[in-house]
Order: sequence, then structure tokens, then C-alpha cells
Amino acid sequence: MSLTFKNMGVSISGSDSDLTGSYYADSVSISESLSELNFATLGSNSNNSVSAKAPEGSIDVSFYITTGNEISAITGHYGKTGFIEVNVGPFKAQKSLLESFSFGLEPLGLIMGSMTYSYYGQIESGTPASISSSPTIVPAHGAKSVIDVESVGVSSAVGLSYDFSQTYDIGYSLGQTGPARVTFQEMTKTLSIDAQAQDVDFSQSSLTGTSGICQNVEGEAGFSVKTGTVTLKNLCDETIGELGVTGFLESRSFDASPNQNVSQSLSITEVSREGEC
Amino acid sequence: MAYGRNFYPDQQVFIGQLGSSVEELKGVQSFDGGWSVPYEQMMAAGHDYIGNEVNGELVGEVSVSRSIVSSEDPVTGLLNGPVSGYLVYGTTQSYDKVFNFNRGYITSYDSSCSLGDVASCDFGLTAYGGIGKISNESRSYTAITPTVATANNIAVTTDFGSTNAIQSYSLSIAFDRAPVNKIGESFSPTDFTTNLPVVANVSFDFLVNDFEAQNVRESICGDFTSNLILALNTCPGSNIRTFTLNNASLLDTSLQAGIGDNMTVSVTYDAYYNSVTGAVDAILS
Repeated sequence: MSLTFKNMGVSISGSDSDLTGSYYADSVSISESLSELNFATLGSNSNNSVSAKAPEGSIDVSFYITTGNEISAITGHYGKTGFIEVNVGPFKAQKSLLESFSFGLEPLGLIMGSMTYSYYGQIESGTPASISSSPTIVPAHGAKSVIDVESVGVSSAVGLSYDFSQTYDIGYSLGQTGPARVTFQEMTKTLSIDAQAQDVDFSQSSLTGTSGICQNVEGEAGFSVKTGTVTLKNLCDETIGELGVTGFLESRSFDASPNQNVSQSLSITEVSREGEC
Repeated sequence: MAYGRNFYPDQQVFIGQLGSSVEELKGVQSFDGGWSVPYEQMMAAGHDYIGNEVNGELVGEVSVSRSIVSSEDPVTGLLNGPVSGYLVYGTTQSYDKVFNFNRGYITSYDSSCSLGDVASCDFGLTAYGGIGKISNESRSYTAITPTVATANNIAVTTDFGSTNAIQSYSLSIAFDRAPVNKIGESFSPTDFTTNLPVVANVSFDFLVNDFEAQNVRESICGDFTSNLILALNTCPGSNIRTFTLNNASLLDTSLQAGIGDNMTVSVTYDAYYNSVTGAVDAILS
């Protein structure tokens, strides 16, 4: 049986979290590699190779965001150390961890999510997934979605992106081929905003405030805790999900070019080390 | 069942500043309006085709061709801001159907005339606030006595026209605008930028008598500019429209010679302006 795009449905299932999600992916890529250990011995000019540990790989999925369940099945794994099973058509990676999740908003475009999983141990293969019916989806869209980034002085934006990434320390043990221990290290959420400078309050978007580089009270201009939220909606005005970042304004830039209003870019970054050990 | 039809007495075009009253355009020869939806066909792994979704601007285009029949032109006052208007039509002059365009920006303003023709004045616009049936509209009609400029009543001031027979002119002013779309605006932009400079382009076709083309290398450090005036007059000689392009740069020259034909030359000039208002004041005043 031939393997086609139509056989490559994507779904995830958390082993500890019981969170599951299936996705309308417009592209999927899987890659894995093996770390080889090459060595030679005195008295011989031959080279020997052994595998240092089990293969590791990654799965990248770009998908249409259509439901809140799709998002919660991802955000529910923020800071979690339990493995996730990722299924892509006949392929299955049982020991996967969420590495990153991102999406971007443009005023006229539909919203695509992108998620990456790292997996440990070779991917398994079975029979191609049965071909399901073809529903009609209504994905999240930038024309209807709502952003609230007033805390950094932005009243309206021409572009926005949400980026999440997290890191783990994977420990192996003598006598085992798979990971013996997973330790969460750090997660970072970033909200990057592009706006016209005329739509941004200069003081509120300043990196430091009246107290200089000292931290200000939340809500005040300058170096203080800022919150930005994105409410994803589809063109039928139905709410799909809401995501936010609570952190500090980390960067600000201005750009001027012919025939365009001066643009301003800002980014709010939230760093957390709170997660499962 | 017999089908009715709409022909020109059944149609009228109205236009005005956005939010203000509209007035009928006189001398309309044609009206073309249309839109297309920028659908993206979505494909998903495990499903293949899963529907369409709008992925781009929801805009429409309107172009209106007019004969110059009056010394007044309401369009010249609408070049620097948003406009709205409609084509009203209906069989046997019932005028009960409408094709609206809303929050439009005029993107081109043209005039041309050839020997034997009546001078025309056309324009095109892009509508960002909806196009098609938006609302019911009423119509009014005030008869006028057309005042036309025919080719033999056009006075053209150029560097070559006094001794070489000009056959036609074509003037085009482009107002290149770009919307600033923002997240959540639901395809209805309210901010716009104008790409500068505003460029006015005029070309002439003429029969060669004593014309000699300039050497293109003179453009390196030479004077390639001219002051051009197109004065459109009525048969008795009174002026109804003048287009003035000062310091227009000679852009290209094309000479055609062949057996049996008169030698002809086409020349094109561009003039540049730093604002829409500046262009309108300089060219159309």
C-alpha cells in the first residue's frame, strides 16, 4: 500500500497527563540520528564503531489551529516530564517531549501553529492509518483574533508571534538503552509584537522607567511585570483559545523605510524554571 | 419567460467623499467593478482537502471611463481621501439595483484624446470597505448641456508640437496607496500610506516634420526636462480643463519609420510630486 499525505494524520497522547489531541497538519517532518562512537586500538589500523546510545530524533508539525483542545494538549505539557506518544500516520514515537510551540498572527492571514517534539529511541512503524473523512475546518484567523498588549503601550499591532520553548536534561543509565531520567530545566515564552510607532505609547514601552533600571510596580511604565494576551478566534468570531505571557519587556526597536510609517517592535519574555523534576 | 436587460439609460454612477453626500458623475462611458476572494485551499495530513479560508485582502476594483462634458470634475476633489459611491441600475430605468463601493481610494486618474475623439477623463479606485450590494440607494438626475473638448480644440504646449503634428496624448497619474492592516480589524483597514513620489506620466504620438531625437547619453548630465501644458477648450475656444506638468523628465523616445507610412514618434515624460495634494495642485489647477 502506498503511503501518501492522506495517510499521515497527526495525533499526540500524554502518557501521564491523559491529554490527547489530533491536528490538521499541513506539513510534518520526522528526522532521527544515531550517535556513533568510533575508536581504534593500539596495534591495529582498523577502526571500530559502536552506537553510543539509542537513536534520537525530532518531529516538526505545522498545523491549522482549529480548537482549544489542540492548544491545551500542547500547553498541558509545559514544564512536564512525562513522555508523550506522537503518532504520524503509521509512525509512532512513544518517548517524546514537547520542545517548542509557536504561532504567528498577521492581520489578513489564517493562523498556523508549529510544534516540535524530541523523541528518544527509534521511531516505530505500523500499518498506515486509516483514511478518515475530510471535514471542513474553520481555523483561527488574524482578522478576528484579539490581542491585549496595552501593558506595553500597544493599542493595535500589525503582527504578533507567540513562541514557547523548554529544555530538559535527559539522563541515561548503565544497562539501559532508553532514557532513565528526565529533568525539566527551563521554559521560555516570548510575545513579539510589531506595530506602527504611532500606535505605541513611548513611555509605556520604555525598557526602564522613573526608577531607572530598578524594578517598578506592575503596570507602571519601565522595568515592571508586563502581561500580553492573545485570544485566537476564527472568521465566524468563535473563540478558539487564549494564551498569554507575563514577563518583562526585553527589547524594543524602531525601523524607518520609504513609504511606510515608522514601525516599532517589542518583545515580552517570560522565563520559568518551575516544572516537574 | 422574457428576460429584461440593463442598458445605458438604466445606469447612473454616483461618488462622494466617504461619509458625505454623493453626486452623479456626468459623461460616464463605462463602469467596471469587481472583486475576488483570496481563498487558500487547505490541505491536512490524514485528510487532504479540508476547505477554503480567506487569506488576504478583501478588496474590489472599480474603473470608470468618462468623456469630459463639463468644466467641473467632482473627482479632482476626491483624490486625497476615502470615497464611497455606487452604480445604480435597473431594467426600464427602475434604478432599483445597486453596486456599492465603500472606503475606496482613487489609484489612477487618466486623460487621453486622439484625432477625431472627444477627450476622456477616466479613473480607477480600490475599495477596502466592501464592494457589491451594501445598501439601497436613491438616485437623482439633473440634465446638463454637455461641453466637450474635441481633438481639434486642444492646445498642446511642448518642445516639438509647433512644427510636428501631434496625433494624440495620454496622461496618467498614479496614486499608489497601501493599507496598514492590523490584527483583529476584520479586513477593514483605516490607516493608509501613500507611496511617493506620485508619478504623472504623459505620452504623445506625432508625425515627424523636423523632429530630431535627443541623444540618450545627454541624460548623463543634460537637461531632459520640459514644461508641458494640455489645454482642453470648447469649440468657441473657452477653456474647460488644463493639465500642467512642469519639469517633466523625458523618459523615452521611440521613432517608427516604414514604407508607405508617415514617420511617427512617441515620446513619454514623467513628472514627480511629493504628495497627492502637491500633484493635484500642480497638474489639475
